[in-house]
Amino acid sequence: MASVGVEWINNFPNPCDQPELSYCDETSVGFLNGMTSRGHTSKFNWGDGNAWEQDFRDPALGGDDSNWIDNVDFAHFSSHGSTSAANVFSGFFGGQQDSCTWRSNQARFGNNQLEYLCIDACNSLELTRDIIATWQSAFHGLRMILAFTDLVSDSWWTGGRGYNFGRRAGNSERLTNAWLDECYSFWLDDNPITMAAGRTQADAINRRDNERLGSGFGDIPNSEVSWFAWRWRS
Amino acid sequence: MPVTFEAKLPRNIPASAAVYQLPPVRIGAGTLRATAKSLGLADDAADVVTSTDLMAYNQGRHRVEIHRASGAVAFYHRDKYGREPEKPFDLPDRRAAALSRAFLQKSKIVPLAAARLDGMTHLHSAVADVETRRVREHITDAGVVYRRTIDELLVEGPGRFAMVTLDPEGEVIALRSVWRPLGKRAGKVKLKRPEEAIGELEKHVANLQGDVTVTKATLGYFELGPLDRQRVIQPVYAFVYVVRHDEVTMKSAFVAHAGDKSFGPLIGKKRFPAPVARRKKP
Repeated sequence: MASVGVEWINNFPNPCDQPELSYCDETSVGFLNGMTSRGHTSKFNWGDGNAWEQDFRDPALGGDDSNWIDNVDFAHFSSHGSTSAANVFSGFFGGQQDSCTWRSNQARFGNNQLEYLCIDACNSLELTRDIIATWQSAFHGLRMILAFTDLVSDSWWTGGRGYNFGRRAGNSERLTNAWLDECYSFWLDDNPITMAAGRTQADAINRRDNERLGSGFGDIPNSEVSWFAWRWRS
Repeated sequence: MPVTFEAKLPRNIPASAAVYQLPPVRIGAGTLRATAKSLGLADDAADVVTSTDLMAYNQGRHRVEIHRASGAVAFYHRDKYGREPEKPFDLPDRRAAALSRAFLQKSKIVPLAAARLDGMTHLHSAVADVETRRVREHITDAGVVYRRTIDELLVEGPGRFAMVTLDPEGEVIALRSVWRPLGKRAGKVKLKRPEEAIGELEKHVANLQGDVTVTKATLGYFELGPLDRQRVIQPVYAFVYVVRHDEVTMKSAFVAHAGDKSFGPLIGKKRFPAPVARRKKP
């Protein structure tokens, strides 16, 4: 059984002032419920002021991810997001523990436990940027990122996507299929995308298309990641 | 800050519209088998899987699921859907549209008379090595999308669609639909003027931080997604808007009753309430 942790932020008071969101709890807690309904284990559910940037930063860089995001098999983050022209993704928090944003260039995931990371935030696997430049340094045993290109909706009507994906992922369905099916929205133009790392081109494609809980692919050290494969519907 | 409109509501609004009941969805082994048969599966040895939220039917390499709350259907070939096909995808859009229409006609999953071709999606696959970062991208399937209409009004919302997915050979490898059967008329409403709905939208976004731009604005019926029960279908004004503030942009929707009376809410409570947790600062 997989261990699952989620962090979500709807409220952004000073000094991390941003427009308020309304349904990040729906997507993250929904995902958690979908997974636990299929027998997996909830390790933490941190929302708003309890969601901290240091949970996403590697200890080598002064963070605490080996006790949180990198201490579970499957993690889900829901909040504001953006990827800069310098190819750095920022995920936004509602408090400064230690910073208002976690950044992809300070993430080293999978060197403890994390295998799959869902980022339910805008421009998180952003195709108008260089997604390899953005995320290569984060793959230290992490196998896949499941995220969005362009904007993703914050609304009750699409908020069930977290649960719908969690149910399928928890059922050991193929993760890319499940993420793309459940997160794509014709009405609100949500465009999900998944990316997998591999040692070779064939390995990256195989993992992208066939990774699921219990698939047995194994972790890849960052020094051996040579290819990335990604998929999206538009 | 005033709202910017990149999309506008139609000028000609009907004077009134009907409201329809949506019969409760009842799913059982019989419904599941009948749906599987309509999708071309033999009424043969199969596994039926049942859970609180859906029922599923696995036969050979095919799977059919029906959501209990909505009757939403998902059908796919477990080996072919979402995998690299053996040949390049070069099926013309017109051919894909014709094949998908024929499939829907035969399966009767949705009533074609109430379906309008809404567009084509494609599944994209890409790879690159970390040294050269040269991206190789190609298409692997076509998803033909049909949109529901009721009394010639388009239906909005996370439901109201059927998507037929075809592989390079033109084989249907998946279908997804959220399309609740229409019941009897529940009543009739006079439609409010668009200006009234715009006023409600402006009130809804008044306190948002940032610049608000409306990117879609429609009058239509409204159908919920697969997780939610829905008892009536009624006309709405639906807006999709974007808010830009410094480094972040967010996107959301606002939906208002288009009729002079409501036959039920358009939005529910949160489905997954978050427990209150306390966390000690380090």
